[in-house]
This record gives sequence, C-alpha cells and structure tokens, in this order.
Amino acid sequence: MNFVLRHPVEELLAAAPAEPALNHLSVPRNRASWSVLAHKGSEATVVQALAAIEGASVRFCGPEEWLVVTNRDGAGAVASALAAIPGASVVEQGDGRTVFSLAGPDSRALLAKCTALDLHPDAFAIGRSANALVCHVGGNVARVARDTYEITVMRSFAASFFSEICLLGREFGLSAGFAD
Amino acid sequence: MASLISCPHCGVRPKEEFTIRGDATPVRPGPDAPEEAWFAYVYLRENPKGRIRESWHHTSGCRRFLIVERDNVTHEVYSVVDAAQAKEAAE
Repeated sequence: MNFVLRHPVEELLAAAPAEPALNHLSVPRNRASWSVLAHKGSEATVVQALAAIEGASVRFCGPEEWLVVTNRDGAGAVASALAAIPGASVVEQGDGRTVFSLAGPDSRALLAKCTALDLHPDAFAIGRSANALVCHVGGNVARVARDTYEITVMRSFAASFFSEICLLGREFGLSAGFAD
Repeated sequence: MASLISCPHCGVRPKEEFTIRGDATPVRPGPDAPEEAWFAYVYLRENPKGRIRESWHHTSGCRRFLIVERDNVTHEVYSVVDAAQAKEAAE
C-alpha cells in the first residue's frame, strides 16, 4: 500500500509568489501535533508533566484538554514523553490538523476580522492560546510572538480557512507560502 | 437573542460559537418510570416567556455543555455555568 503525503493547501498555493511580503502567512509542512486529554482528577499532574516537556508548545483547548504542537524533528522524543504521562490520553493529530503561521505588523488587525477572540495584548499575551471560531471554522489560535499567531484547524477545513484568510488579507498585502 | 455569552472556560464569546441544545429544566425520569413520564420528558415542552434555563454547547470553543440562564424578552444573560458543575451543585 502506498500513502502519498499531500498538504491540504498544495493546489491552492502552487501559484503563490515565493517572496514573502510584510504580512506573511506561512504554511509549515513539518509540524506534528497531539491532542492530550486528562483523566478525571489528574488535571494538575498532567499540566505539570506537559510543562516539563522540552521543545513542545502546549496549547489550551478547554478544560482538561490541550493541543501539543512541535516540529517533526523532535516529534519522537515528545511522543514518548507524552505517552509516559500518567492519567492522560494522547491522540496523534499530525495528519488531522493543519498549522498556519500568521506574522506581520498587521497580523492582529487581520485576525480580528475573522475571529471574536479578544486579541488585545492584555487579554491575549504571548504564549496564550484558545479555541475559537476563525474564518467560520473552529480552530485553535495561539500567540507565539508579538506579531505572530499560529492557527491550527482540522485538515478538512484547511483549504476553506486558507482561501478565506487570503481574501481577508488582501487589504494588508498578505502573501502566503510553504515553510519547512 | 443574547449575543455575548461568558463561557466559564473561554471568556466572552459571540453566540455564533455556540449551539443551543434546548430547555435545561426537564429532569430525566428513572428507567422504571411510567410511559407518560417518558413521553413528557422527551416530547412535551413549555414555551416560557422571560427568564429561562437552556443547555448550550460551546461548539467552536471548549466543546463543553453549559447551562445558560437568560431572559428571552430583554436578552439579558444572568449566569453561565458548566453543565457538569451545575449537576454537581444540584446533587
């Protein structure tokens, strides 16, 4: 059996320019992700264990649920660290979720057009993340740097999300391209 | 319609992120309850005006069931609690 690894926005991005503009949507190909759910009563220990994992970004989804995102290089170590957490159920999401990285001085203004999340730095500091409706799709928004947001959506919604955010980004001259 | 809901887990969010699952007041009868009790629980609903209790699902957020107490005349939202916590508090 042959499995072909194809990115969900492969066809939409084929004609995109390679030169990134000031505001840029990069589509990293090398992300791995997991859903982590804490069993009843073990939330505190799971939070501690997740914080101790090196090289992984832990994103809040809801009570007792997190999304762990990392680069594919360190995925093996993170996967075994996650599997060792007592009182947690872990599901690999690498092929189920698609990560987009929105960066640039207008990234907050752009994102504010398509989500109702309060993106003010006081309410959504660097390192914060939340599940919310983004471009009519349920996704996870994480603020990873001052003007950089990572948006994670389900794979089957990735093309819809991508088309809509590119349309919304036209007033800011948003460019898009794959990144490794 | 109340347009902003303060989710206890996610903060203030617009109603578009939620799905209303209906009246939160009917109490599920026991397994040996008579047929009339089950019929009433499954099919019969009041159509109240004013302050109501509803089950809301935060579909695009934390995906938790919430109990929203709101007024369907003034659109005021009185309280939003997680359904699991509301159940624990009632027991």
